Amino acid sequence: MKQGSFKAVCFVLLALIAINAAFGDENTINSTSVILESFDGDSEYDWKVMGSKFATKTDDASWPQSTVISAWPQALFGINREGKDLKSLGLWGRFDRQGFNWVDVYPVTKGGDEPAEIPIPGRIQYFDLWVWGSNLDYTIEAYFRDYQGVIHTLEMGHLNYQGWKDLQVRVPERIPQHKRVLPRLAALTFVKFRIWTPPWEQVADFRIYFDQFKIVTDTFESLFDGDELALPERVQELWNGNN
Amino acid sequence: MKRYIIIALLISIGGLAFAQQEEVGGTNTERLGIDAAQQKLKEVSVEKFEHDGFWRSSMSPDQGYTTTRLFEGGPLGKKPIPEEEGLNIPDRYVLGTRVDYLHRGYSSFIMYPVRPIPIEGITKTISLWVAGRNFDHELHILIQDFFGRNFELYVGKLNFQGWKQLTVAIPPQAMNGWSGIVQRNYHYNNQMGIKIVGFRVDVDPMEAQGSYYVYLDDVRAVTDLFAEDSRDPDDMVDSW
Repeated sequence: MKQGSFKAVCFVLLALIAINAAFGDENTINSTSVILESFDGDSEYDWKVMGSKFATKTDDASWPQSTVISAWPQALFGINREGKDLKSLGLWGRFDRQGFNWVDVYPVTKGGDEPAEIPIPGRIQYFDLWVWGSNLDYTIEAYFRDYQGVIHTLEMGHLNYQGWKDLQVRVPERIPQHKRVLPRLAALTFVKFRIWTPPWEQVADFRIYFDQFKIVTDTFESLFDGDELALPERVQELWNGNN
Repeated sequence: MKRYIIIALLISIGGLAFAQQEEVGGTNTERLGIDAAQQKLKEVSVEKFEHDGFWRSSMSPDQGYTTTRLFEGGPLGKKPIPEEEGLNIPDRYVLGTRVDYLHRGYSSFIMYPVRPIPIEGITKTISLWVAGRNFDHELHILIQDFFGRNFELYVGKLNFQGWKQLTVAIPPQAMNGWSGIVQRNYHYNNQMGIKIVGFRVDVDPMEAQGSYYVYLDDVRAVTDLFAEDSRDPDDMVDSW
């Protein structure tokens, strides 16, 4: 090999290494498991339910209804020998017509009525929810909002099984969680769960229970000169201090 | 002779004016598709676009891509349905769709609910508010009849500024009960009618470039609820 060609090859190799180093930290991951809602009453949210058009209403009551009950998945907590105050969210639904009815399960601020969205820390990779099913062929979906206000629906699966089951879903790459402009992190917010009834399934009376809504999220953020100015809360603090 | 010509002219002009008035008055829902001895027409709210993630949009990836979300706001000219006044039914949002064209040409995009939206009763007309940005695009409504057969109806052009309420009449079903848009099933009086499965915008090729924004709000129907309301209170509910 001629000396000139050797130099050129070396240059190209060095350039490749430099490019790799420059973008290398894009792949750094710090996965953390976070319980977003335990349904034990220790979070800053209450949970409400809302039904679609043909939800049953009588003179005495209207459905769907929700309540917090003392029950838990044994696969998660065992028989609770320590006697912890474990709770789960119960949902009771009734509809007048079979069809594509839905029930929304959504968080509200503690003691309030307005829907609140739960901010997701970092870039979410997986989420899971323990759901008690009574073998009805309903489907459950989770709704997340991205930084542009667009809602992304992730199907968590069917509820046609018996008892507690951990429904786990991987959050696909197509859901944007970072943007070009600073701050690069464009975290999602959790909006609600929705349960759909298909037209062939009975809807006269059903109960479903939720427990432990958990996520696996990547909380790593690359450092750079001036990264402090890309933290919204810090920027607010600095601007307030100036006034 | 001249006098007769003038009289004839006056009569024909008068007739034209009368015909125009009939047309301007819009669809007479009382007369549309009468196929039952008694009717109980009522305006009902079908979709106010209040629930996140219920509407999506799509177009051919060769032509462009779409983004759909809800926005706070609404047309000021919207009048509440009398029965809904005082019920505090939320009406904060409208549906917005942005279309980014990849190249100019004949294309269309659809905005659709994730599940069909049923309308109770026998639907006579469907109306909705649209902000169409004064493009020569054409709006169609996509519906399904009782048998699940798909139909599309032309709603109107989007060549106007700001919000406008557009209305489309649903053609009555054929006398034989099988052809056309069939809405009635004589077995069940709580499961008749049509379902809305989407809206399609046929894009004017001369204006299919850059980005296009369209907003929808407040889909309503004038529907005959006679059979639904005449349902006996002691009648059983078929939902088990």
